[in-house]
Amino acid sequence: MKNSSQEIANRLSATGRANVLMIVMAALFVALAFWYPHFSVGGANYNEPPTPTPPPVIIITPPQQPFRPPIIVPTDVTSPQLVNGPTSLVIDAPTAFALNGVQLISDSQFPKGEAVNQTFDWITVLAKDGAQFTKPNNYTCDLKSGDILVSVKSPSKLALVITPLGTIAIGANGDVMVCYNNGVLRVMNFDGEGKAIKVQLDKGPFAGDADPTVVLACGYELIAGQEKITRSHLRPKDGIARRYQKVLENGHLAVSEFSLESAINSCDMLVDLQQKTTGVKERRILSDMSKMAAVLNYKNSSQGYTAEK
Amino acid sequence: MGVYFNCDDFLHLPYLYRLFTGEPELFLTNFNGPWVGERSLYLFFRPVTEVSLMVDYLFNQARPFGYHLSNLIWHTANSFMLFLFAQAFLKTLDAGERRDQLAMAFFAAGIFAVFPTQSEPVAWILARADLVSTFFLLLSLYFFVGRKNCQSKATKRFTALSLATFFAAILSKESAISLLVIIFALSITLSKAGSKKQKFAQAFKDTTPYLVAFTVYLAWRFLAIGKLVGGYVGSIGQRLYENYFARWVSSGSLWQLLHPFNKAIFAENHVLRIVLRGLYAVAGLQIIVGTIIDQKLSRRAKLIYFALAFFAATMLPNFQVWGLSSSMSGSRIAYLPSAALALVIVFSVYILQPKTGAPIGELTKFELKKLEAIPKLSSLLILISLTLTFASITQGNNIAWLNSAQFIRQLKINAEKELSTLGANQKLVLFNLPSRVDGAFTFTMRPMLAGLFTEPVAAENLSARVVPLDYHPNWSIFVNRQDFESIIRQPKLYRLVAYDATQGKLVKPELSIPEKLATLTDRSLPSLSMTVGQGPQSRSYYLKPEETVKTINPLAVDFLELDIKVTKKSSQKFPATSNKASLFVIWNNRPPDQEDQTEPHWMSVPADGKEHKILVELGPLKRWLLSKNVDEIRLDVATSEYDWQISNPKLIAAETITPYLATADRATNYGLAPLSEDRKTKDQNQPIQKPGAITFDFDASKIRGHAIAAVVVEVSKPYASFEHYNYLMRERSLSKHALLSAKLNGLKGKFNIWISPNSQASNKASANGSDIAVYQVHVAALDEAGQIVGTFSDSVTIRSAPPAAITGFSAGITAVPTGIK
Repeated sequence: MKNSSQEIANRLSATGRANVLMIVMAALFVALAFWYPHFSVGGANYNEPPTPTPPPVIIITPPQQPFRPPIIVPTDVTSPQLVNGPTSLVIDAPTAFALNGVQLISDSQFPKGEAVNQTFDWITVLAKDGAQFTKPNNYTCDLKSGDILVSVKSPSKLALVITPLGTIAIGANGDVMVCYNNGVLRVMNFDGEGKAIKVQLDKGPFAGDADPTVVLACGYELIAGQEKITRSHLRPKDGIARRYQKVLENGHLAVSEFSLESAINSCDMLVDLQQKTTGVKERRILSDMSKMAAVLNYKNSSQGYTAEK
Repeated sequence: MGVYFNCDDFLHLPYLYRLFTGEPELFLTNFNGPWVGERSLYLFFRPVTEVSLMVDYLFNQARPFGYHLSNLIWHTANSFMLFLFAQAFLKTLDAGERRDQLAMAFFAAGIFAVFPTQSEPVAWILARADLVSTFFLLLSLYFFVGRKNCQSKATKRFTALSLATFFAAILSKESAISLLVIIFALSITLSKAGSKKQKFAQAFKDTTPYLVAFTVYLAWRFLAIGKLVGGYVGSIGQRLYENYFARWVSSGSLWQLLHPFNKAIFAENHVLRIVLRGLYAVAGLQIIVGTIIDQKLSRRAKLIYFALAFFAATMLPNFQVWGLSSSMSGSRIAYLPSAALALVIVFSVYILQPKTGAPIGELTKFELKKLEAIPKLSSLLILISLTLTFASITQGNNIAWLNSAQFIRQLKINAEKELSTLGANQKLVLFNLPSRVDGAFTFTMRPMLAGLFTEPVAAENLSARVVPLDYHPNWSIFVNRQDFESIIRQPKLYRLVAYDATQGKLVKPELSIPEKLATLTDRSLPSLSMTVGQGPQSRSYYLKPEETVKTINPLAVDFLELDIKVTKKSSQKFPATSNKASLFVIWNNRPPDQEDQTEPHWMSVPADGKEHKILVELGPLKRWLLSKNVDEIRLDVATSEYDWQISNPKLIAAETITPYLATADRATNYGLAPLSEDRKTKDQNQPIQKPGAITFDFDASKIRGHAIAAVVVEVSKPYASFEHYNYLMRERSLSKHALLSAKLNGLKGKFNIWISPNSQASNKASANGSDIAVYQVHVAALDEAGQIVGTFSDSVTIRSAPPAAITGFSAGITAVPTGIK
C-alpha cells in the first residue's frame, strides 16, 4: 500500500504541468455542475444590449374590506334607498357581482379553429363516465353529452370544445369543466385568467346574428339552456357552493359565481384527480387550481357561498 | 425536417429564382461581389456556400424539405469527418491503444453530432455556410495529418489537397481563417522535434502555404466586396464593435454554450438541466481520478492542449458576431467551436491507461486487468450519458425551429387570405411581427419579409400590396408614429393587421383612434396618482389615472414625465456602483408577450443625487400602441444600491416635446413603401437615376421650453438606425453617428436632402444600383446655446443613393448644388 502511494506521488511529481491542467479542467467541470451565475437576462439579436435584470415586483394588495350593508333609517328621507326606490347596492349586488364574471366581446375576437399555432402535448381532456365526445383533431373536442374537464397548459395555446349550443375556446393555462346534459350547457372556469376562456353561443336558441360571445372569468359558471333556465339549473345539487346569479338572454343564459375551493372538494372529476398518485399533468392541474382557489378566496372573499346537497 | 424557410433564406430564394429563370449572369455575383449582392445587413464573401444552395434549388425550388435534407447530409458528413480527423490525429500521436483511439474519435463525433447548439445551424438553411465551411476545414485538417503520416512521395499530394480544401472552406465562410491557427497548433502537437525552437520553426513552415493561400483569398475578397474586414454593417455592425464585453462576458453567452438549454423550451427546473449538471460533476470527479491513475497523463494533457487551442482558434474569428442568447439565438456561430469542444470533453474524461496500484492480496492477472478496466468503463459510461443527454436537449431545442416554421407558414396563409379580400387600392399593413419565435429567427429586415411574398415562395408576386411597419431598416421595438397614424387614419387605403402571440395569427387590432393629429395639442390626458410598494430590495410605484376617465388611451399618450432623484447608497463599494441606475416600466392590459418584447421597458437614469425630469418614451413603442384600456403603469426600481425619489408623474403628448417630420412626397417614405421596393429585378441592375432631392416637411414651432433658435437635421449612415445607439426612438442629444447634419433657420417649413447617384466614390457601385441604401432622417429644435429642446422627431426612413447635402427649401433650386454643407 505504501509502495502504491509512493508510486502515485512519483508519477504526479513527474507530470506536474499536466496535473495542473487536469485540475483546472476538473474545476471547470465542477463549476459547470454547481455554479449558478447571475447573468443578464435575454441577450438577443446582434445589436441589442443585454437587458438588466428587473428587480422583484412589489405587489400592493389593498386591505380586504368586509361588505357592510348601508344602514337604512326609515325616517331618513335623504337616504337614496328610500328616495330612489329599490335600486340600492344591497338589492342589486347579487346580479351586479355575477356580471363581473362575463364580458361581451365581438365575434372576431373568438379564436378560429383552423389556425392553431401550438404544440399539442399539454392539452388534457378528462371525461366523467358516460360522457360522449370525439376528438376530430389534437386541439378540438366535440362534446355530445356528459361532463368533461379540459386543461390547456403552456406551451399549448388553445383548445376548442364544440357543444350543441356553441363553442368554448380555452387559452393557455386554462382549466375548464364543460357539461352538456339534457339540453343544458354548463361551463365552469377553474383556472383561466384574463381572456383565456371564451364562449361563443351560436346554436340552438342563440343562433342568428345576435349570438353572444363572452369571456368567462375565473371562478364563474356560465349556464346556457335549450329551454329557459330554472332554479334547479342555477343551483344543482352537486355540492359546489355558489353565490350571486344573473339570468340573461331571455332566460336562456345565466351566470353565477362559484367557490373553486368547494369545487375541488366536491366535483367528482377533481376528487378523482386528487386520488391519483401519478401523472405530471394531473398534478399540475390540481396545483394550479389550488393556487387559484386561494387567490380567489383572498381576492373575492369566501363569504356568502352556499351549496345544495 | 419539418422546418420551413427562415430569415435570410428569403434573401437567397429570390436570388436563386432569378438565377434559374433567365438571369444566369447572376451566378458570377457571388464571385465578384458580396454574398448574393447583399450590402444592407452584412458584407460577406461565400461563393461556395451559394453554389451548394444552387444545387439544392435545382432539385427543390421552393420546397424546403430538400434544403433541410442537404443540411442534414452536410452535418452527418461533418460528424464523420471529425471522427476521421480525430482518429488519424490520435493515431499519429500514438495516444492509447487502437481501440482507445477509435472510442475517443467515436465519442467526439457523437457529441458533436448531437450537441444542442446544432439546432440552429442544422435547422436553418442559411447556416449552410457553417456546415460547408466546417466540412472543408475538417477535410483540410485530415489531409494535413495524413501528410504527416505518409511517405515522402505523397506529401505534395496531401499538401495540395489540404490547401485546396482550406480554400474551399474559407470561400464557404470567413471563420475558416481559424485553420491557420489550428494548423500551427497541430504541427506543434504532432512534431517529434526535440527542442521548442525546432517545433516552432516546423510549425511556421507548415503554416506558410496556408498563409499564402489566405493572402490570395484576402486580395480576391477585397476586390469583390471593397472591404478588408466586412462583416455586419450599418448600426448593427457599429454596435457589434462597441459591446464586446456585454456579448462575450456579462450576458453569459459562454456559460450558455455549456448549458445549451433554450429557455423558451426548458423550464428553469427542467430535469435535463439537473441531469447535465450531475454529469458535469461526475466528469469533474472522473478527471481527478484520471489525474491520479492515468499512466499516460502527459499524452492526454497534450491532447487537451491541442483541443483547447482548436477551440480558441475557432472562437476568435467570431469576435464581431459572437452572442448566444438564452433562447439559443446565434448558436450557429458555435458550430465549428463545438467540434473542438467535443474533443475537449472526450480528451478530458477518457482515461488512456489506468493503473490501480499494487496487487491487492492474491489477485490473478485476469482479475487485475478487470480491475483496471473499471476506470475506462466509467469514462465510457460518462461519455455515453453525456451524448444521450445532449441529444435529448437538442431534441427540445429543435422545437423552437418547428414553432418558428409554423409561425411563418401561418403568417403566409393569414396574409394571403387577407390579401384576397383587400379592396382594389388597399394595401395590407403587417405590424408587430416577431423577429424570433422561441429564439429561432423569423424576419429581421424588410427584404426578408419581401421574400415571403415574391417568387419562388409565393406563386405570384404579392409584394406590391404588402406594407411592413416593423422595420426601419431592421426589426425594432419602435414604430414611426406618423407612419402609424397615417395607416390607422386611412382604412380605405390600408388594412392594418397585427400579430397576436396568443392566437398565433394576424388580427385586426382594436384601437381607439383619438382626434386628428393636428388638433391634439390640447388633448386632455388624465393626471396620475401614485402608490408605492416597498420590498426588501426593490420598490414598485403604481401609477393610476385619477380622474373620471379610468383608463388611458395609449394612442393619445407619448411620454410619461417623472421627477427623479437617484442617489448611490455607498460610494466606497467594490465593485463600484454604476453611475446609472435602471428604471423599469411596465403597464397592464398590454398585448401578449412576444420574445422580442417580454422584458419590461427600461431606461438608465443618472444616479448623481440631483433631480432630473425624465421622459419615459411610450408613444413609439409597438407594445404600448397595441395595449388597450391601460389603467395602471408600474415603475420598478432596485433599492439595494440606490435611493430613489420619484414624484410628479405626468402623461404628456408629443406635440410640445417632439417635432413633426415627414417626407413631403409619400412615395419617398420607405417606412410606408410596399415590399415590392425590396424586390430585386433585372431592371434594377441599370444605373439608377433618382430625382436630385427628397423634400421633407418639418414643424418644431410647438415645442415648449427655451426660445427655439434653429432646427437641426441629422441623416444616419447607411443601414443605420438612430434608435440602435441609445435604445430611444426620440433621442435627446446630437448623434455622434450621423452621416450628415445641418442647421435650419425657421421652425416650420420644408428642407431638401440632396442625393448623389453618380458621386465618384460610388460610381462603380452605382453601375449595378448597389449604392442605393437605407438612411434615417430626424430633426430636433435647438436653443440659442445649441442645446436640444425636447427630443428628436421620430426617425423617417428613406431609400436612396448616398445623401450629399441638406438645404433649406427654396423653390428656385432645381439642380444638385455643389459645395453646400
